[in-house]
Amino acid sequence: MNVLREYSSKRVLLAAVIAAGLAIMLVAGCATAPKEFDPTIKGPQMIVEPDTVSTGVVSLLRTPLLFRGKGFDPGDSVFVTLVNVNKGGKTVHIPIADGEVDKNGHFTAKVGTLVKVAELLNAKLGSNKKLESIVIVSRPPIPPGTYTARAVSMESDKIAVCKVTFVPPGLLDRFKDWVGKKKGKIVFK
Amino acid sequence: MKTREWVLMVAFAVLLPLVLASGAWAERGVTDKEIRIGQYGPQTGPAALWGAVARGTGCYFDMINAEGGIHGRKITYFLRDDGYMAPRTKAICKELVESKEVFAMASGVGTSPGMAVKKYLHKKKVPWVGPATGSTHWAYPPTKYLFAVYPLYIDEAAMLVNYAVKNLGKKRIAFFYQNDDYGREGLAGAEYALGKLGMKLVAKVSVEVLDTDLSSHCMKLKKAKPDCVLMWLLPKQGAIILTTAAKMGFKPLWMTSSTLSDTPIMYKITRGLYKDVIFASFGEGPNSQHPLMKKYRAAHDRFAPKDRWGVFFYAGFIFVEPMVEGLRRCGRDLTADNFVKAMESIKDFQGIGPKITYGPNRRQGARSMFLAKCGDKGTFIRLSDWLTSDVDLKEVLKRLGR
Repeated sequence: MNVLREYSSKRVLLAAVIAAGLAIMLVAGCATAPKEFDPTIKGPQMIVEPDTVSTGVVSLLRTPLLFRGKGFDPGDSVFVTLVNVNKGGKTVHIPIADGEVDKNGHFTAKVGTLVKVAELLNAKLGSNKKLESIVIVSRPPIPPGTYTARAVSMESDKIAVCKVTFVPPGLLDRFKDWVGKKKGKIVFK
Repeated sequence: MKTREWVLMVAFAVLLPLVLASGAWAERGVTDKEIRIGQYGPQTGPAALWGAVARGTGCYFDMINAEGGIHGRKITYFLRDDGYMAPRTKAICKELVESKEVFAMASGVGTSPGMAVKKYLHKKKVPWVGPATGSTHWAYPPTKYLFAVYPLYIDEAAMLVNYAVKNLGKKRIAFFYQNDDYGREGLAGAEYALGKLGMKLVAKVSVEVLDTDLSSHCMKLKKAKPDCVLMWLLPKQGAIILTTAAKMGFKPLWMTSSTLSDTPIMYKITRGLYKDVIFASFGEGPNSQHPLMKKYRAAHDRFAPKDRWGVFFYAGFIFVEPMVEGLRRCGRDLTADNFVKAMESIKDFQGIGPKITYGPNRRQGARSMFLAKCGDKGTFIRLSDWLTSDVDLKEVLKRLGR
């Protein structure tokens, strides 16, 4: 009996190890190589990582969305705008990130938490009775689709563009938001 | 000379005065009848409470226009909501300068949004008066077109420490601060003042902006047994720490920065725990009978009756009073460089805020504040006259690595 039990637990352990190994391989296989600038382009250019983002609340807030650019004037600063976004029935340009240009003409611009909440999720940061921060969602997020992101120089006419895609939340992302709702961290109105 | 050359010369002589008179070479944002001024400020989002500053400025300019404007020119005011997000602040400033062609920028809430556009506004030679924060970044080192009004957080903290020790006999001071420039500058001022008194903080505890569970922070503070705690926080975190401390039976004297000086709001969100909290103030109390406060309240009732008359609203008056004084001193010949000269001539000017003095290499207008405390139902009780800081800023900035 004991031998049988030991054998059984070993099988479970082995199955768990195999499953974990497969999961790691699967994730590693899905990972994409870091994007690089196009060496054939001489003027300003910009890339974004990742270039596809879910609009699930938890997923978007946890995903670092980073724009990198080159070919700008050293000492300049830039802001990155999403072009032609439908917001409340109006088509607008939304500034979502900003950065300073270094001595090599490069910049990095990260999309901050407040911008993600206010501009991409169309939500609000609020507080519960314990004064803990919560996300209040009362409107749909940015409409799914592929958008042009445009880096605009503050001091020159230089601009650079790239594409970024927003997709509706998948099953896992919706589950994460459900958990957030149950914990009181996300309120859907 | 040929006939054609004669015609060209005559045409030039006739057209030149017309071109000049039309203002084709005029200063950006200044016409015969108008001065264009812009401001960014959060009208939405988590910092919207402070956005009242920008609406207050609008009300003040309405009052100035109703009185006839400045040397025959009316102020056209452009208020833009940046939501306290630096990318939007940048886009707004570019639009205001390059499309709306503003002559100057007024105030502007937030160190981070302001720092995002400081270099740009300077390079574009845009005069900028009264960023609505007490950071040292505006005036140290001084830059030509930027004039700070808001007294420094360093000075506020030093004054509060001096008052706690010298007037109230407090012996064990602790400091609880937001882990950023705002909090660190307050901390530096407190440590400097205590050092001069031969004392040290019994505890210094930092908090991140998005932290909302402050139990462990409160425990650390309580363990040090302070009789006075200075808090340099956002209003929400100020409310959380007071609530947490009350639950733990921790009852030191609480002191804080002018950023938490809207007593009715703080009293409300702390459910009365804000009573007796001492704070620094950069302007008259909401019910002050100062003649200018009476005038400004009347302007509020006339031009912005839907806005609450509170400290952040009329802070929007305080931060641009020196700007209007500079425009008046400048006269009709309004250019950015002439405006700078006029501003540099301001000495001991006082509206409802502290006394303001600028000079050729002096861009921090005020280093005075007074102390007040929150009374019953959130009333504003003044505790002192205007106090002037004796902090050696060179030394403190050195400690901050600047």
